[in-house]
Amino acid sequence: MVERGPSRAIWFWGALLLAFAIGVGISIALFRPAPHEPVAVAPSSRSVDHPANAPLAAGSSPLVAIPLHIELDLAKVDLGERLFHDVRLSGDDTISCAKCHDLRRGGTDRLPFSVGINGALGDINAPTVFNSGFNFTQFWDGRAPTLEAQIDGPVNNPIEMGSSWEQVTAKLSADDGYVSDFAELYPEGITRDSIVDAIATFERSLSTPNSRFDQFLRGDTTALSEEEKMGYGLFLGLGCVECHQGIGIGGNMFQRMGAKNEYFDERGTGTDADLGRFNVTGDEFDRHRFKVPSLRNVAQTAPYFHDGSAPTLDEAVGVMARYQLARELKEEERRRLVAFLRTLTGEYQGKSLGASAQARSPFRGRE
Amino acid sequence: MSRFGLSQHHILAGCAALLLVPLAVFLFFMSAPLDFDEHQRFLGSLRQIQASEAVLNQYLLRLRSGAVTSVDPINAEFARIDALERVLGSPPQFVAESGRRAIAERVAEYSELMDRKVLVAERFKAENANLRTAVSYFPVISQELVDEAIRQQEGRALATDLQSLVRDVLLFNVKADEVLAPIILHRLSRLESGTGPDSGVLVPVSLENLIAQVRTIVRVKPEVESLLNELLFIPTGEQTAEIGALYDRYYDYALESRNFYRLLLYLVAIVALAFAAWLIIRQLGHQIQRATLRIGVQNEQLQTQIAEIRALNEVAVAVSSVLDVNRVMEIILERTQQVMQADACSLLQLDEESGKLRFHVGAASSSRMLEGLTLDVGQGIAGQAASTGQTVLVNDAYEDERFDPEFDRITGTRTCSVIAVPLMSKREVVGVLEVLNKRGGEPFSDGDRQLLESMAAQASVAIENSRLYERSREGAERLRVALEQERHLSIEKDKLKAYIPKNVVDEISRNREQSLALGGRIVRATILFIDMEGFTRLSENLDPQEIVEFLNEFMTEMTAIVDARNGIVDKYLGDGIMAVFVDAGDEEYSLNAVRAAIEMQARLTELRSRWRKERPKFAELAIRVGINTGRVVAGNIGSPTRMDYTVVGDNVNVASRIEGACKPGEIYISLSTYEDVRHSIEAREIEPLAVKNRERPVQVYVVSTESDAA
Repeated sequence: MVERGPSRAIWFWGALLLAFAIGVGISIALFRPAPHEPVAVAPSSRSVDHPANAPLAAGSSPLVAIPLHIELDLAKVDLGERLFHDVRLSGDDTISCAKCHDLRRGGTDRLPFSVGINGALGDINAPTVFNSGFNFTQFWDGRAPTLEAQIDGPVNNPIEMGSSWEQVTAKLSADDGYVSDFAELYPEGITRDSIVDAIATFERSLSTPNSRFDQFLRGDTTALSEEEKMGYGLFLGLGCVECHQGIGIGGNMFQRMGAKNEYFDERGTGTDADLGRFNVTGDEFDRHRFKVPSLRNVAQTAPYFHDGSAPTLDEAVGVMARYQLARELKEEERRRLVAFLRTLTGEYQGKSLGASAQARSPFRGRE
Repeated sequence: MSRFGLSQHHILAGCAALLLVPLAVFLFFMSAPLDFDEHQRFLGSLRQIQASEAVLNQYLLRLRSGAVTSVDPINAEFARIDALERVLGSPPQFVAESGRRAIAERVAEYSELMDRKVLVAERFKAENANLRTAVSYFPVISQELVDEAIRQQEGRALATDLQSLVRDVLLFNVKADEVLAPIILHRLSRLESGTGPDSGVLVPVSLENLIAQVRTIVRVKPEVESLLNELLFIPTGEQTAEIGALYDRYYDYALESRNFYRLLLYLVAIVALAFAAWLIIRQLGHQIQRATLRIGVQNEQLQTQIAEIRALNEVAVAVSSVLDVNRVMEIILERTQQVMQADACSLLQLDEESGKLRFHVGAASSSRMLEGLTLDVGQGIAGQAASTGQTVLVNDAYEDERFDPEFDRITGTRTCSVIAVPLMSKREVVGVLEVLNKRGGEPFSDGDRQLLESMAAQASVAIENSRLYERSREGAERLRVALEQERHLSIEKDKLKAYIPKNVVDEISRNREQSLALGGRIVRATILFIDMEGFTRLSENLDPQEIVEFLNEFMTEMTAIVDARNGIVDKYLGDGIMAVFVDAGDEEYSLNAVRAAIEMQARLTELRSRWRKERPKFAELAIRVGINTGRVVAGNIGSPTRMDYTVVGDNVNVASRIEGACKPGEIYISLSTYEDVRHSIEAREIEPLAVKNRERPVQVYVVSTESDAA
């Protein structure tokens, strides 16, 4: 007992000391002054001071030039580009995104309606993929708020790519190249979200800056010819710019097809697709309303309208004036407007979309 | 006691830890500081959403007024608001669950309002674009018509009407009220009627077109106004304010509850510290108490050890000083009882004659009446110890079969605990030391046993020493008695002197004295042998009575001479005599012997002349005399029943040998005798004599009988 006493006592004192130390530690931890320094808000979308200092000049000009550079993750752009051209996103490995959004054809297939898997015919004209990142919503009826959401549509559409994400991820996961590339960029690997993110990033890279008109907007008054300038004047004066406006020269609002005259009455044989945004909202107000399409590169994206009914620009301009303005354009007016519209053709990867797109595409062999 | 205290401490500390530690941990987590990053993020998002709303509303108004011509900024604000809604939808973690639910509900309501606002904004954007298209196109087409009308003579009125219409429509477009609407419609109907097919005025297709534009303006403008109104009055701002207020409430609540828990944590910490302090003080107290106890115990042990050492010391002193056996035993008993703290102590001594153990009991012992009683070896516990030679320790005597309760009956006490240790002397059991009943009823320990064994070892030595001393003292006493008797005899001897010749008395005394000497002693003496030459041959033919008478006469004559010279007739050897002259310190013993020899020869010459008349047969007899001096062994030699006091030794043999070699009528002496008497006696050297047991021949001298007349 006499011998055991001292060792027991050491344990006891040790425990007490430890308890005391813990107590002191807790106290110190708690007496730490609370951080009153304001922490910077996560810069998710913009700086805090935007509302106070932002000049409301934004939007004061109806048409805006496309920035010459867009900051994007180039690795994701590359990966997205490969996916965009990969037929394995379709159910029967026949159709890639690029099938209907051919970068050599102005980002479209230049068909009234696209052909899906097994030769199925779509019910609406494929819009261009160029500058789609500037659209405020996606699809003619705006049912997808983002590019990412848009991709679900064609992939799952039985008459378009006729596949499912399960199928697509399984197929892509069998490709070692994809597996390692995805692993580098996305910790989660190959999933619907990572595929969609890569493709959407690639699509945002498909902006076409430096059109002649953009050069004109930037101050180069010689960029447009006199006739084109007159066409621009008509575009402003006749009110086209009220709908075709913003950075995309369109793509930022919905408008009724046939604002002043009934387009569908005179065209006849309405389809579900003709109902437009009504299909999304179910509101009578939205019947026959469509997203106003961007007019950028419009010379490269014939045929026109959601139904692909106008094979030429001249015709399309006439139809627009007739139904949206209730005016029969004179031939001179049409010519000038079309001349103006042709100045909206921009550049992709430094080359004009209208020039020699066919020779440029590195993906020709895979399609 | 102290062990209990310690474990009690542990239990207390353990309970406190079990109670306080989880409580402290709970409170610690409950009082964790708020996540200010999250707080700032939420508040910042709320501010941004409010700012975006304001900006959005400004854009909407400006879009209506035409100051803004692109709807891109509006779309962008809606997108921002949508993103911020998602942030608001997940309030910070520190907001209570109910608060999170409430805020999420409000945000959902806000989201619905915003969806509505987006929808209305879409219509507003579309209708506003419609209106603006019409308003911008209307003057163009109007001017075309006016230009055309002016070219015609009848068209002037029409042109005026058209110009008024343009003014009214443009005014209508910018005015808030719609009082101009009926006027415009009236003008329109007038225009329609005024330009009918019968009016004669050319009516181009574009007039219908113009009317369509005006109708659109009249129809859409109020719609746009109402849409704008609706947009501005959708209570999204109130909703965000409410969300802010709600969040503030829950933020304050979270802050307060954390402060409350922190306060509790401090309280718990203080309690824990106080408890720890109390435990420390308590523990210190216990330790002091334990230390005091330990010191007390050690002190007691030291006292005991001192007492034991003192007792052993006293016993040892007793062993070396007090030599009375009884006194030594008394001290041993007294000290043993004291040191062992026993009720009774007894020492049992083995009686060698009876073979029994005899009780000796200490004066302070409670079993005094046992003194002198005996018990057999093997009887009872003490007897067991004696018979086995091993210590016996019994702490419950009545449970032990070896115990003999007989003695309890005698003493009237009850034996509980016993230690019996055998007393050993030269590996023999000589007794037993026994203690009974430790005071206080405690059992005897192993330590007690060892102590008693060491006491017993001392006691054994003490008793043994005392016995030896006693024995030697008894011997001395006997010696003293003998000396006393000797003194008495001396007195008697003086009394006897008148009747008994002195040397006879002396001889008795001497013999008596010598008889006391144990064994022999070495003395220096001169040995004298005489022998009658031819007596044996002569005696064969003589009457025994005659021989005895002759010998008695002869011996008497010779003995008288020896006595006169202080010699002792050692023995009569048939016809010879052996006489001893012992060195008594006067150094005359050798001379006495030689003179006695000379006298003998002279006396025999006288006797022969007488015998020639009375006993003619003995008249020719002559004697041989041999003398030697040296160290001899003197003592009583023989069997106990027949014992002679005599001297033996080589020098006796030499004397006898010298006598044997002597010519009748002459006296031979050895060199050693001659050395003693050469100044008084004349002698001449003859040839040495070989003697048995001597390497060298003995130098012999012949005494000249005429030389000394003394």
